[in-house]
Amino acid sequence: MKVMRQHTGATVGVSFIVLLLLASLFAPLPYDPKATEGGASLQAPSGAHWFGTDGAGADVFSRVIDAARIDLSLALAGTVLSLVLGVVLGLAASTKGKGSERLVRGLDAFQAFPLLILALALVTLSGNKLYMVVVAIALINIPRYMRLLRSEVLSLRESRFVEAAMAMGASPRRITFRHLLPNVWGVVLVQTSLTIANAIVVIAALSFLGVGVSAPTPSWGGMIRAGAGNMSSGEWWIASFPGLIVLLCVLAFNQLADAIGDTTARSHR
Amino acid sequence: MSDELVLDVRNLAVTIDTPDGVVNPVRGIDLQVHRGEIVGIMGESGCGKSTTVKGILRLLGPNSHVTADTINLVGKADLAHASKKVMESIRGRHIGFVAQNPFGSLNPIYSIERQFYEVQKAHKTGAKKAESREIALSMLKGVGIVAPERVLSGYAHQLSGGMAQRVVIALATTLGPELLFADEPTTGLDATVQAQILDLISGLVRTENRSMVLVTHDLGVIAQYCQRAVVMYQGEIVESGDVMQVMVNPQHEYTKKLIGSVPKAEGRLNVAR
Amino acid sequence: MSLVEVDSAVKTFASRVRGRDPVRALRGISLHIEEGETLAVIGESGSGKSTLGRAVLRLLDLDEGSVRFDGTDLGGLSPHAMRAMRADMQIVFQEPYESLNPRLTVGGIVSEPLEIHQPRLKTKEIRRQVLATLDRVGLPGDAARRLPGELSGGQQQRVGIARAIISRPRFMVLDEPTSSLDLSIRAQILALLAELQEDYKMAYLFVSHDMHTVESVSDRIAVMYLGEIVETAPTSQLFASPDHPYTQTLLSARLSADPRERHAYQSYAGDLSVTSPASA
Ligand SMILES: Nc1ncnc2c1ncn2[C@@H]1O[C@H](COP(=O)(O)OP(=O)(O)OP(=O)(O)O)[C@@H](O)[C@H]1O
Ligand SMILES: Nc1ncnc2c1ncn2[C@@H]1O[C@H](COP(=O)(O)OP(=O)(O)OP(=O)(O)O)[C@@H](O)[C@H]1O
Ligand SMILES: [Mg+2]
Ligand SMILES: [Mg+2]
Repeated sequence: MKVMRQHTGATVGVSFIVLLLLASLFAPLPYDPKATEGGASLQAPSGAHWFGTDGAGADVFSRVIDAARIDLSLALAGTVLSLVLGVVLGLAASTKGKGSERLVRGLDAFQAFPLLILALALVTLSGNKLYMVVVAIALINIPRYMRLLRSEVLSLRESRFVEAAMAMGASPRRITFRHLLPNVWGVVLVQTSLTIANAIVVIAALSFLGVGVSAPTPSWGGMIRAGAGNMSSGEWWIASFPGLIVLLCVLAFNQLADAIGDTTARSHR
Repeated sequence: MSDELVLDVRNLAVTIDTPDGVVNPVRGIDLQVHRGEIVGIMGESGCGKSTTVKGILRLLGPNSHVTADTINLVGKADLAHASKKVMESIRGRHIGFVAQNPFGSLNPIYSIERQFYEVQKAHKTGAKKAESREIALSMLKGVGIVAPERVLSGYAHQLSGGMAQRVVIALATTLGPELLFADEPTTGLDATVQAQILDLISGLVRTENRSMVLVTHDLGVIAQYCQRAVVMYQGEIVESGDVMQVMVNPQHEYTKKLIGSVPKAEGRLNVAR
Repeated sequence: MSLVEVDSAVKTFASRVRGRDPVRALRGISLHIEEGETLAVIGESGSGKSTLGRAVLRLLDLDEGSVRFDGTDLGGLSPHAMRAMRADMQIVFQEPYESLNPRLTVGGIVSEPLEIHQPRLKTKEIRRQVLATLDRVGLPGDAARRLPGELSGGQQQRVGIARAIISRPRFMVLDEPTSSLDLSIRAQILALLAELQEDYKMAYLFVSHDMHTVESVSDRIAVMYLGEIVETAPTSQLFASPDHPYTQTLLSARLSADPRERHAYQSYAGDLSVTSPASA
């Protein structure tokens, strides 16, 4: 792929994510991630336990890898939902009229709301249903897609080639699908990378606060929460390794976003 | 005109990767530009004029490769091997560029005034906003824009084609580069405004010993303003030399054909004056 | 009845900056174009020629005045009826690159009028017509697979022309359609336009700065100045005895393609210090 060749950061990032995902899905883990007995608890990283063990004696490495499955799938599901609804609603809102302007003001108000708290409330009230985590991610990200779509489409509508399409008598539908959408794809992809990164953080934050994915199923946020107390007593590894993975995932998707942004900007000249 | 070289291009070639394989739109280009002269490049549509210019300025897209024995901007750098950073510091400051497509070189979301200021900022001239505005106003007047204040506060899409072309010329010459590449700079302008702009630039070339490379289909422009002419055909230079010699006594078959295609209504139009 | 009738068209662009005067791009323009006729529009840069072209095709809404096409007032048409009407009118924009969708191939761009207005044509037939049209404007067949960004300026301009002529509209606005073309291809395109006009009785509104081009294509010429038409005359008459001072200067400003007949353009040298602050 062209995008990759010129962006080492993005290549490394994507390889990392793919590897993590494959490992969580298929690789035989050294220990049962949910095993709470057997292994000695609170062991520092060693040859036997690369990332050490936690308070319950589970292997942190196995848990970190296993958590990728649920955390990344939730993040992806949330992103797909945001993408689809955000693009559709964004397109619908991309007209010049009064209604569309009012809608933008509505979005402003909505985004001024502390959305993480809203997400927290939603998931808690639903009785900790996982699909609500997905809904919460969508709620946070749909307005971002809508704004993006609206501003891109409004400026594209001013462009000569859209005027040319109108001059030919193209229907609004044709203009949307043939002239507008193909030209916003680039920025939508960039936004999608950023959304995944955001979703990973939101999911981690929720499970850190104790909602969403709950023990014993491993999740990065949950592990950080569990390990936080051990930090002060010197067992740094329990919270640090999942924290590091979250950081790396976010970095990876940001790199990817940069790379996509660069490539589409260049071919747009 | 002097014998002092400003730009010396040897054996320039451009290759472009396309889905259908590699294409080679220009090959073996040698181009010398002296201080105080205007070199005109002519040739049929698609023969490689813009690609040559963009190749020299290293402005081609990511799928293109420029090779050359040398692209010597005398006393400054070998552009064939200059880094991106060096190129950025040279373009705009030492070499001005007026692209064939004016709207492509204007930023749609900045006001025109801001774009003049960005040029000053990019090259750290230290000019303040007010100063940049003054300079911009006089540049725009120089290219014959009658309401420069309105143009400055406006945006690219509010300009007519010919206005955009002149804004780009003014932008490219803001910092007084000693070498200007202009790719069809006056296609959207009528003959009077065209003459005004070319007079202005050729005046600068003469009085300040600057240089210009001018790509144009208008053989009248070549004949009236250029000291040397270069004829391209299918990606190569087929003839070059003193404008008198090339235009009056062309050697290559293609040049003969090109010059023979000038409409003969000339005489009749001259009567009208 | 004329094919195109414009009656007292007024268009004013509001200024974004408060306190600045709005731009009065069209100040009451009236004109008519007959079937099979070419009306050339000339005038200074910024005098409103492109705005007029867009207004005639109702690509922008007039503040006042009306445009009639084939007797129908375009201002009164529903969006749907207007789209159907567009089968008979086309435009070649002044900005070749900007008017082409950067994500579509040349083939996809040129076929669009056919796909819109003749939905029953077979893909194969569309393809045949696209290739034939590209050939007529002097583009190689392999251009059909390329993106606009991979073409030279003059090639892009010809893609715009190919798109406009492929469906044989009854009326075309041609805004500087040959500005980026060398003389031989320009001649080829002008001959093509003349032939189409002959065969299909097409009418053209032809905007150009090039007086040779104008002289060779037009039946009548309208001269615009600051948003108004200041002179309209049959081509030969205008060239023989131009009325308006602007027309007169235009006709006298042609450059000779013979370097032995150099003009002495020293008159601007005095202004140079003003226009080149960087040298101060
Ligand atoms: N990215 C690309 N991929 C493939 N071919 C290209 C690409 N860019 C340019 N070309 C081809 O290279 C040739 C030279 O193009 P160039 O723009 O230099 O022509 P030009 O002499 O400036 O013509 P014009 O007078 O029409 O502007 C053209 O035939 C063009 O189709
Ligand atoms: N969308 C717009 N918003 C504001 N002003 C505009 C807009 N479009 C055109 N104008 C202004 O209207 C005037 C006429 O523009 P137009 O493009 O019609 O000129 P033109 O005669 O085609 O000039 P040229 O020969 O340079 O192409 C100009 O002063 C221009 O700045
Ligand atoms: Mg070119
Ligand atoms: Mg115009």
